[in-house]
Amino acid sequence: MKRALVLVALCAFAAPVSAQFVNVGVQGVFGDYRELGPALSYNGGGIGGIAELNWHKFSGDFQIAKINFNPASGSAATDKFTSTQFDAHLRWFLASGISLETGYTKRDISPDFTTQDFTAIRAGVRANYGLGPGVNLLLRGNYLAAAKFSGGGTAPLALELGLGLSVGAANNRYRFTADYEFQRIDRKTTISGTDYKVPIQQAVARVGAAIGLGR
Amino acid sequence: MRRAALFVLAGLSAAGVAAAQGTAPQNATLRRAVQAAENLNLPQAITLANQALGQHMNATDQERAYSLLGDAYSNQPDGFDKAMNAFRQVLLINPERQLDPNRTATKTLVAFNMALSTMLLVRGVTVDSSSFVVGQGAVPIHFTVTSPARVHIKAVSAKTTVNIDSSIANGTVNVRWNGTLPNGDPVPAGDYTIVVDAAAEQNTFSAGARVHVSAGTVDTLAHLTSMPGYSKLPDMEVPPRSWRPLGVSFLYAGIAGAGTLALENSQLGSANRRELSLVAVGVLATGVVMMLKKPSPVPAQGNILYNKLLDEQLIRRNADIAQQNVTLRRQVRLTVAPAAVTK
Repeated sequence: MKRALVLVALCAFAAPVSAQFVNVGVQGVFGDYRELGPALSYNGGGIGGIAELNWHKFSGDFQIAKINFNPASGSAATDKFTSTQFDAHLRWFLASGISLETGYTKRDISPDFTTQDFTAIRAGVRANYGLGPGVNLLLRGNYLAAAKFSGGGTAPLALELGLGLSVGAANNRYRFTADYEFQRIDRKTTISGTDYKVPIQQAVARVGAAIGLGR
Repeated sequence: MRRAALFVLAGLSAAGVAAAQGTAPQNATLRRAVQAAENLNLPQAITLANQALGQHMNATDQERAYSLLGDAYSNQPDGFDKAMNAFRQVLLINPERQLDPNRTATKTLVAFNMALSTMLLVRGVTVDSSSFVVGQGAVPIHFTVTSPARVHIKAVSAKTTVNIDSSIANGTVNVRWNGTLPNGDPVPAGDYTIVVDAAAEQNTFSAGARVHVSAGTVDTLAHLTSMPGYSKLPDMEVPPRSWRPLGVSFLYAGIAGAGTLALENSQLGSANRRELSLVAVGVLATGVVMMLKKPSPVPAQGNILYNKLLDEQLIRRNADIAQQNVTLRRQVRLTVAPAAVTK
């Protein structure tokens, strides 16, 4: 609820900036989540939303997704859980479709401790290639720094890879989007002086539509 | 004695006392004065003319009465000054008044000319009919100034006033007007008054002549809307179909797929890759569609530059044409014809 209010506030803030594009959209979300080993694997679906703002050389988007994960077939997991994930991406355009990207990601799990809550700061690059008027391909890679988990531990290696597609009107009034995001988080915890590797891996696909506001 | 009487009679006639005006005076007393003069009874003519001047008369009768007095006084002993004053009154009423030297007594002529020389008058403003190309001719203007004065000549119409000449002049003056405005353009066609203002000390006098100015037609060059022999090229052009969209789609999907495979943690087993497949298939399908789709027009920089150069040439040509038209418009043929003379 709190995050939804934040998203609405961001949209309200962005709307008066009519000189640039503001896109808002809804998405269907599909996910695959794995933790610790092959026995703990989940997949599920849910709904999400996105607000995107372009302002001169800067652009950014805020995404929220709620995914209901169920134990995958063949998985030893028994509990289902709901993941509420908030993502922020802020970009600064360099040249030729390449942008520097930073941002924040936060994943809340309900019920608690079914899997790990997770927060991190992302930093990386994004490539945007226009196939034609209103048709764009996106590719991005980020390092997830300062990772924190509800169960403690660290993640010296946490990477994120993304592939996106946007097809719509040349004037950006509407468009259909598809976005793939893969996260690998090599979490390590120390229990009673012993280090344990507890890796986490999540793949999420978002498919939706957005409308453009402003000029 | 008989010879002198004939001169007086001839002078009276020339001065317009009797037949020169063509019609009999309207004033009865003046008619009697004229009759007395024709009978060579000059004292009675003078008496009756003075009586007539004390009565209400029109300008023609007044001029005739003063003329009669001038003529009669000039033939009286010690009447020269009175004759001169009478002729001054005649000239005030009609500055263009002339005496025929062949039909006027010498004394009368002397008195008239003396009167004329003591007044500042501009007489006989005439404009010759003329037709000329502006810049290659002029229209002659003539007039007479009776005493030294600064003379300013101008052409006045309802729309404009053009200064023609300004100088010190005396006697017969001939000037030429080239029919142009100060900027060199020909004066607009229409009715003008050639006004001659004369000023000497406190005395001023103005006279004018009306003329009509008509202008011939001028063949000017039409402005160009395009460069002859050249046509503009389209600013946008459709590029040929290309494999590039499909190639880039494969590249992006391949990087994402290979990256996913590389990043997958072997400890977690193999993922089902449903999410990757969903988006990658969409990307590849879009690449195929964009490859097959007719490309959208894109700006043709070469054509845009070519069109810009054409536009610049067109602007230059039209500027040249405009300059030529200015010259052509100045070479118009003006025809100046006099109208009625005004005072």
